[in-house]
Amino acid sequence: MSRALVELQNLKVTFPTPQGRVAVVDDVSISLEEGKVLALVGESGCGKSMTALALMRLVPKPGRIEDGSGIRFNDIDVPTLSVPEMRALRGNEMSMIFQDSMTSLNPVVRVGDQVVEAIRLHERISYDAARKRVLELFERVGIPDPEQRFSTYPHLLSGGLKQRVMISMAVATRPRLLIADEPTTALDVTVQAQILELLRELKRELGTTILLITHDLAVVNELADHVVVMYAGKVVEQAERRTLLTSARHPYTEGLLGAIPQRGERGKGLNEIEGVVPPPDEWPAGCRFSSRCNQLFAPCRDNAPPEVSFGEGHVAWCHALDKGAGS
Amino acid sequence: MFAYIVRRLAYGAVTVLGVLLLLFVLFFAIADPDDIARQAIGERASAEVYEQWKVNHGYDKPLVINAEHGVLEPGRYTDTLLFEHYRSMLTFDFGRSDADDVPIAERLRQGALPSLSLTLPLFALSLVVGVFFALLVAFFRDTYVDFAVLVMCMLAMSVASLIYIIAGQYLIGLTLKWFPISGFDADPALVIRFLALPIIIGVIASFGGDVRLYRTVFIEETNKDYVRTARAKGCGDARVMVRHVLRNALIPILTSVVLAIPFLFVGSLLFENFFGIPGLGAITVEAINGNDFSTLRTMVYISALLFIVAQILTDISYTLADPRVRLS
Ligand SMILES: Nc1ncnc2c1ncn2[C@@H]1O[C@H](COP(=O)(O)OP(=O)(O)OP(=O)(O)O)[C@@H](O)[C@H]1O
Ligand SMILES: [Mg+2]
Repeated sequence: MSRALVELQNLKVTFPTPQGRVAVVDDVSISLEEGKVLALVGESGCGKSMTALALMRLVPKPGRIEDGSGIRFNDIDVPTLSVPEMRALRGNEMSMIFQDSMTSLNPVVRVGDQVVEAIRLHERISYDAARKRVLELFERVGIPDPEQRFSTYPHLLSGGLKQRVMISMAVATRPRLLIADEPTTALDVTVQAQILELLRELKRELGTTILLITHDLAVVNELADHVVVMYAGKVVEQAERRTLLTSARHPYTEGLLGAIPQRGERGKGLNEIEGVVPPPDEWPAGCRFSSRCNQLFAPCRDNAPPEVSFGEGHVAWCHALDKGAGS
Repeated sequence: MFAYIVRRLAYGAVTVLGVLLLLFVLFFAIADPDDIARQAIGERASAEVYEQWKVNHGYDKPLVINAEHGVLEPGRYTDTLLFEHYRSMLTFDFGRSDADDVPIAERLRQGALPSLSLTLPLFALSLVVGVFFALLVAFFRDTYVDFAVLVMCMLAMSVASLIYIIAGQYLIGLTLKWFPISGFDADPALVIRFLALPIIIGVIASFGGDVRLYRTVFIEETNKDYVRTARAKGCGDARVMVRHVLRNALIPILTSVVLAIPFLFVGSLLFENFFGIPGLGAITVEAINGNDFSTLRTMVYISALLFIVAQILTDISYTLADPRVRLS
């Protein structure tokens, strides 16, 4: 077994609300092995992006990573790093592709120069040398006519090209960890497939460890080795990809799986979950999924769900499963 | 882009023609040439003196249609005050002052340098000081530094310019005696002493509003996604501000700033008057006090013209600063 590159222990990220600080990421513990792809899945608002941002210490104000959260990256204790030390990690050892490629590039800086900056922040090389590397990178990530594209501005590029620029920026320094936050959601279906293919190739070539955030289980199936399912700031189930996709146990995961259109049947799946994730200050006290669960029974509303293990790293947190295992 | 500039210039030209029409109504139809002559030479002169004065100053023509010419002769329309008004203003042939017969162009030439020697450094310094402090405050946002500067800005904004002028003259000029209270000197080496006080006071007077405005712009930019990307690349806070936020924020700032240029021209009415600077503002005030209609008309026209030009420049500078606009 290879060692863990990323280790989150009881990560807690809070935001202030009128009722006090609410944890939008609550006691999340995840471990990501070197060279593997870990998919973080869940509906919108489950805290996936916040978990990733916490890892890079980029949680936006007024959000805060609470004391006692363990974040280890490459055996470095991330919360105790000084600001310059953290800066040296970001974009160098760990980098991130953002959810919205439309707005994530600086609109008034030439796209090539934005990638050059990513390189020159971490390596002492001349502008021309960096420029040459960027042109090669553009070529590699499938941007046609790199020379010309180097000097254009983001608004002149299609969504797919912008995302390719973002990807080239993220891999420019050959980071050990690449966080891809819904890298394909904003794109057309055909472009989505191309970007996924590119990520798969880069992973193979560079051996980069990837934290892939998505709410699309089809993407998980394409790319992931391991899957962590989040609901309302909590991890509810985790397993190897195949296990999770074929024999998920948690009602929420089952609901998510039911929501993927199967081959030949478009539209609604059988098990699709009703409603949406409530806002953080309305999350139920006991099991957070209790307000939408179809297997609800007595302890769900009041008590936190127990951890139930199914072997080979397959774990779920659910009262219903505990009852099943116990009886 | 080129078509855009041409269109923008065409709009500008139409606006200028409209402004001139308004001026004509104000200066010739409402205050008619007889009134102007009476104001200039007094109530008690004889009819011939009035006529002669009107001839000398070019007020002796009919307003819109000259009946001495036939219907088909061009002179029927060109030999009129309206035509003369448009011709003289559009060709910058402003004629002579109603009050003392000095050519107005001569006055403008003399007044322009003192005015610019005040407004230009004042403008540049206010901008630099404002942007610098706003950047600093935005950098320290949501801390006590930010809060303290904001309170200072609010206080500074709620005081009228006049108070700053009087207080500044009293404190710096009279009590501390650092700089002369007012006056001007044509010698560039000496004039700095005279300009120091109005420039300092001008910067202080505009500080509060500027910093608050620029701070809002900076903070709005700081919340954008590309800033997060820059941080994720490993940019430090200072670099994010200077290399990423500043360039984007400069677009709205530039817009507001270029628009302020003609207001500086008008605003110097107050400063030039109080600090004894013989610039265009002082000339305008003098023209109002002395019933010097031809000078006043020229000054109002030039202000309007500057304003229109500034708006066009704003639009063009906006397009130059923002590639999204520049290239489309
Ligand atoms: N600036 C903020 N202030 C308050 N709450 C916030 C803020 N940003 C995010 N949140 C809350 O944090 C929770 C988690 O947000 P996060 O962006 O991590 O969700 P996500 O799982 O990435 O969803 P999505 O699929 O929409 O990206 C959300 O419920 C949101 O309400
Ligand atoms: Mg997200």
